[in-house]
Amino acid sequence: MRPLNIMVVDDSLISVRKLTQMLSEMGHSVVHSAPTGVAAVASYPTIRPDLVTMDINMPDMDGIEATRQILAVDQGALIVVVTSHGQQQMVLDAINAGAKGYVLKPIREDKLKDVIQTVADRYLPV
Amino acid sequence: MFKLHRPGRLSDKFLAILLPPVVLATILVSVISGAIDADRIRAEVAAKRQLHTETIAVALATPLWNLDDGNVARILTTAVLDRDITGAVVYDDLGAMFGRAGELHDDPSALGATPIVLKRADAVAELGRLVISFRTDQLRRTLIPQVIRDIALLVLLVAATIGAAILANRLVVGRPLDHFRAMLESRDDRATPRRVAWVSADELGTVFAAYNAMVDRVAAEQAAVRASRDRTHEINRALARRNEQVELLLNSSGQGYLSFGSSFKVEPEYSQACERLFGRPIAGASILELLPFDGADGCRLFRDACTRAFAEDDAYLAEVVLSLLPGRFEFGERTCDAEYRRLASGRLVMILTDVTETLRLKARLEDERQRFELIVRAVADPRDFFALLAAFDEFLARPGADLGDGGAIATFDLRTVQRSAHTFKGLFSQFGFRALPEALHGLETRLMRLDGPAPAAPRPWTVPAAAVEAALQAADVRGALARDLEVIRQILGERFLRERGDLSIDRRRLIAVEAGIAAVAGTDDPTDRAARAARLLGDLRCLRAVDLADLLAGPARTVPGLAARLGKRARPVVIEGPCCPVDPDVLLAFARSLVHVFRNAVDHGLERPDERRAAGKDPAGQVRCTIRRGPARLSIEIADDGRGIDTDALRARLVATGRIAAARAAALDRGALINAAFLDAVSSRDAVGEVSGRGFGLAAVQAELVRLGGTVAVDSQPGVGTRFCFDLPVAALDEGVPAVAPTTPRAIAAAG
Repeated sequence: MRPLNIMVVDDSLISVRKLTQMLSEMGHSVVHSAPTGVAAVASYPTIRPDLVTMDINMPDMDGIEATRQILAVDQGALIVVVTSHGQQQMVLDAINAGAKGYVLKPIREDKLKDVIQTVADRYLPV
Repeated sequence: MFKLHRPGRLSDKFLAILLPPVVLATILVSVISGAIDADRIRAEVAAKRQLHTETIAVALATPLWNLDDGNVARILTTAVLDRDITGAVVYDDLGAMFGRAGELHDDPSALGATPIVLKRADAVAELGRLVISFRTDQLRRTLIPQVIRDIALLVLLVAATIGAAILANRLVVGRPLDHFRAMLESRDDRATPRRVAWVSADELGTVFAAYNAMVDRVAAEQAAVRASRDRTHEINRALARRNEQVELLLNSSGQGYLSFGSSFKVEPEYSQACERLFGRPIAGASILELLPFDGADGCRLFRDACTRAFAEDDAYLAEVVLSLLPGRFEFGERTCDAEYRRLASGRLVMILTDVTETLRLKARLEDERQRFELIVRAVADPRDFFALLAAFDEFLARPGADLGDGGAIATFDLRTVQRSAHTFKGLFSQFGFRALPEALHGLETRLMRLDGPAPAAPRPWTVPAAAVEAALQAADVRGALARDLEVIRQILGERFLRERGDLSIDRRRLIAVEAGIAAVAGTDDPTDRAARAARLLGDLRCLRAVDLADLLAGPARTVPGLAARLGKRARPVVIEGPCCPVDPDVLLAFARSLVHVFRNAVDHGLERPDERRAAGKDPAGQVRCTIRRGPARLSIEIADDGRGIDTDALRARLVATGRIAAARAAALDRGALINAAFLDAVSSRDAVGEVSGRGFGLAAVQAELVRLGGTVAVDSQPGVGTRFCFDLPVAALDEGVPAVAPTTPRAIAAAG
């Protein structure tokens, strides 16, 4: 699949680094990383990435609210939430807010690749 | 059956039958009646004339020319007295009216007047004409009975005609229709209607032909209906068979299948296994109440996710949402895996598979495997195994170096206890013990919590023996040991445990020893004897000797398994070098302690496969153990091809744990840093785990080195690997076993 421009939203630098590395290995470019939901919402209109990975657990604005606000700005935004085990209710809330998929932590490359590929094939205009 | 072929229409048939007789009869009747009528009147008139003539002749006894008017008038009046006569006129022979009486009309002949010629009896000459007009209607009145008779005849005739018509009807129409009606009435409802056996070209024939055609059609349709009904029966039977098979399949698969719609009510078609699982029939029950959710939150998640899945048109998103549903449920004692499928009709199918037995089996298998591992390790390495047990027994008796001054309260140096506990944990883990390493981990935790601040090394950290014993008991170390040994005892028997530490001796060596003894006894020369005795001693020592590589094999074996557990890959350790027989009693402890070096190499040294691939390395790491032998030294080198020591992290950790002051830490070069790492309680990792956690590992190695008078050098290159080089002095023997004897402790020099 074609390389995507991805924005990574996570408050943990280590996670951002790890995710960036994985995504780069798949051939995508991480064009921006935001440490908070607020920052993500603020930078989205300028960056306009193809896809956003959003950590669900973040202080100040959680991933679900950020998802909602980004979708308010851009209806076609593709957001994949990153979540730990046992947070199914939050994932459901995120999907109801408009997210298109999720990956579980610890992130496995094959699973991440699958989700991104499926979401991009299905929802990205060619 | 009556057959009339020629006339084509029924009315024609009737006409053909009726018309001739009717016409004939009418003609006949008219003629007859007219004839009779005329005849009658004529007869009547004649009779009356006769009568009147006689009357008048009687009255006219005198000749008429003698009559006077009065007499004529009188005769005429008398004549008229006859009911049927309306008038009489006498004309003389000259035609003149001689006398009249009654009504007369202008044209008497029109009234049926009958001229009567009166004649004198004695004279030939006529007297005159008497015209008498008769009242014909009166006449006719007398004819009424005849007329009536005529009418009656006519009526009879008409009746006869009608009779003929009816007969004709019966013959032509009635009989076939009766037959038809009889056929219809006698018809059995269930039987096919029969054809009418009537063929003619007239209307009846057409009707019957149409009827026959209809009968044929009905018969054909009935046959079709029967065939269709049979087919339906066949299909129903096949369907019932299929349903039976599906039900059988569902019910014997042992899996619970159930479905529900957006109302969450379970639909009646579910497999029997569901009743076993839920303990009752579940049709119509709410799935939200049936499933054993994880609290109200679990129930809410299920309901919200299902609701979203029902309403979602996007098949992919629906599947994503369904993936959030619980994959496992605990039904009391039974555990079930749950799968979900979305049906096109807006329903959800749940497939519950009872995995209780599978899980139990897996747990048992795992248990068995671990026991097996334990057994195998014990059998493969019995010497090590029993030496370890012996050492541990000693540890339990006296956990640490006794610092006591011989006084009443025994005290131990906590650090030695910790080190031993840590080392034993690693070694028992290597041998596949389960309960004991866990118990030792618990012991370590408890020891860490013992009261009192840690004094700065290298001063001993004194704790009372009772506290250590208490910790031992609290962690149930002895109990754990007993439990693990029980496994060995069950499989290998009590004998195996009892005969610990027996030596198996190579036959050839024993023969060599025998020869050696013979050699010593075979000489009287003291010098010679001494030399031979020394050689014998060497041979005897050889009996106990073990190849160093064998000693190292044990600790090295843990590497691939440990790597796998940490999500890394490591090839089996390569031990290379010359055969090096050593005294196991001396070197065993040191060899064992090297397990920490191996584990460190995997834990800290080797990178994850993707990191290695990114760095262009083989995703599987390789640890090498090289043995080198010199005349006075023995060196063991353990090298990994990992990422090297992160000196910055190490430095930071040392400062953070207060081992070394920040300023001094900054000043230390890499070599010195690594040396400092050998001190207690240092680990360059944040998390403390069973593996390589507490920093005791390398310290344990250091302790052994000190005991043996050896040195260690560490070399590390970032991204390339780390190498630990252990150097041990060897007391030389004549061609015997290099016995590494403890010498005076020397300072440890670390090469940079």
